[in-house]
Amino acid sequence: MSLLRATSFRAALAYTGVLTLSVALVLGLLYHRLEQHLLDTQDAVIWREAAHLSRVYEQEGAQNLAAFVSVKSEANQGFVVRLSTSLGVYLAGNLADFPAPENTQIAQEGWFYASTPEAQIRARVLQLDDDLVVLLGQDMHDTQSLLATMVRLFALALLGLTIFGLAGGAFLARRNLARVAALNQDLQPVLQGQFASRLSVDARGDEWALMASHINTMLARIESLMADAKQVSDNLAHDLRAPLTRLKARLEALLEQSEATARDQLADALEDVDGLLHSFTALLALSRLESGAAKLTRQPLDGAELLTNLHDLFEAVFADKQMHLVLELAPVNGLEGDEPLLVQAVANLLENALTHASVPDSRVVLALSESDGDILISLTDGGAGIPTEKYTEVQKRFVRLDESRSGDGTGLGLSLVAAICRHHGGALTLGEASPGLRATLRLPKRA
Amino acid sequence: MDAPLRLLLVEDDLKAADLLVERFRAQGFDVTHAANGELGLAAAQDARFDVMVVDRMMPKLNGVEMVTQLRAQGLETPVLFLSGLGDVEDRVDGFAAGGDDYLVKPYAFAELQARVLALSKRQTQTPDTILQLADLTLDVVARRATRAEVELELNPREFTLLEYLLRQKNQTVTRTMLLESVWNYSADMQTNVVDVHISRLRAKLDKGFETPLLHTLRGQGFVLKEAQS
Repeated sequence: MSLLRATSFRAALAYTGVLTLSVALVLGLLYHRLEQHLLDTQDAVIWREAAHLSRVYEQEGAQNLAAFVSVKSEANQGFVVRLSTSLGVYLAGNLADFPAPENTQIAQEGWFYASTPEAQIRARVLQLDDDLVVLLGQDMHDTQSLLATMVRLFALALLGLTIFGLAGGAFLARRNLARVAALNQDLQPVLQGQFASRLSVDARGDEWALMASHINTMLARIESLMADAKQVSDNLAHDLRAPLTRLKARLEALLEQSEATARDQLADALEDVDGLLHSFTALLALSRLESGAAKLTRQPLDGAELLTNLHDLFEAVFADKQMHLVLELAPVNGLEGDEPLLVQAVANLLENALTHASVPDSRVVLALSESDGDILISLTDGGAGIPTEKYTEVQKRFVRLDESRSGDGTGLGLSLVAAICRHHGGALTLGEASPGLRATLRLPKRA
Repeated sequence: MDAPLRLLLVEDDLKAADLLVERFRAQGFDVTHAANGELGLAAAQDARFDVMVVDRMMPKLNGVEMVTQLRAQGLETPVLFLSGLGDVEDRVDGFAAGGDDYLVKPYAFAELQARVLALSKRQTQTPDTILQLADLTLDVVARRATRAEVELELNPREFTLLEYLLRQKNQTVTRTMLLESVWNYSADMQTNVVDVHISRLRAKLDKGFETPLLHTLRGQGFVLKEAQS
């Protein structure tokens, strides 16, 4: 199974998604608070300088303030100061020109951002008196590079989280897939009909082990039910066949001793017993197949040989009824199964064609072919066929299209064929051959 | 038969056993009956038998266990299992235990008799290569069949069929026996597919001859013999 389709991988994927999203949210909040904090710290420095400047102005006058500003502007790295008249004429400081409006951007509470030839600053303007104005600002470079570093770190953290999450998910999924694969491996014999096999239960005692032990309990139950079914059919076989066998033996013994006049009647009685036994055998075979009590013997078979031998046996019977039994064998290989059962199935189809499609000069085709990885054995007759709507019905037990039930046949033939197909993991399909019926055994090829 | 064939029948169904004993005796067999596996085991250890016919399902010791024990003791008398079960797995069980043949109920007595005879022969004789009945001669090695010095044109299947009938001459052969031995099929076939092959063989074998050799016994099967009884 593909990793992407594994439930545990999908769960890990969803979990990693949610986790990444919430961590991103927290980091975003953190970033926002940090930025605020850095700006507040920076702004506090400006306010302090502003207080200092206004004190100097009040105590020492405008002339000394200009000198003080000149000293300040040279000493402090990243500090921007500009003393001007209220009309904007430069008096002192390290910024010659007031930033042009297109280079400024208003922020909250009187702050604005501006681009000067040297740097990007955050600044504000203070009115000292009616004539004097001072611009105070701080280079944003340090703050911004610190924030950029934070962003890079956060992005790396999120990337790492995603990678670890996905890797962890893949690891968990692989482990789970491996356990599911082991479980499926253990179940293979069961799927093949070996209900005596059990799953191995892991000593860890986790949920997988619990499930395996539950499946084992179910298997044990199925096995015992099937053993019961087998026992019942075995007992039935023994109990009913024994008296029938005795009856047959008595009739045979009588037939040998009796007068010619009684012989015909005894022979009729013997034929009736044989018919009864035939039905009984078919019914018993059917129940054993359908209860799963019969194990499937898988042996490699030569399909062409199987059909050729049946053709050899039946060809004369068909010829006797002026019908032509024709073989059409395509080269196929990979047929496997229980030979006696498959012979029985094809023989039943041939017998059906003999009894229900006995049209003089008609062709009956026994064919072997291959389609979609399945092996097809089909028999096409030249009889009247079966109405399409009755296809399912005729495969049921004891169903005969001849309502009077007067003709030959047990009504079990096709049900047995269908059961044999299912037993092999295949299916019996009926189709219109216009004229006639095409019955096809579809059997899976050897893996 | 010069000395009567010594047969041990181990069967828990007493009615069936009586019938079998009676019929085997009528055919000249020396039959001993044991009513269960334990008695069967004791009888087989006591005396020498040519063949054993053993029911598979019996109370106390079942047939398969009984034969397994006998084989373990080195007793190699041929065994035919009788059984109401017919599955391949059961057959395999029977052969694995040391059985030599397996017959599923219901069977025709003729079939049981033929198989018992075949088992007893298997131990003592190598099969003949020239088979004869009246003026019919079959050379198994040369694959040649003649009747009154005239060669019969038989196809391989007809030859096999005639060979089988000739090996069982004067004994009734059932359709099931022919299907199993000549076509190697254990399937249960309803229409008498075998009859057509028999009548084709009869056309080549008996047509133009005064005494017919191949006879149909209604309700039973076929027999190859010189004169109609």
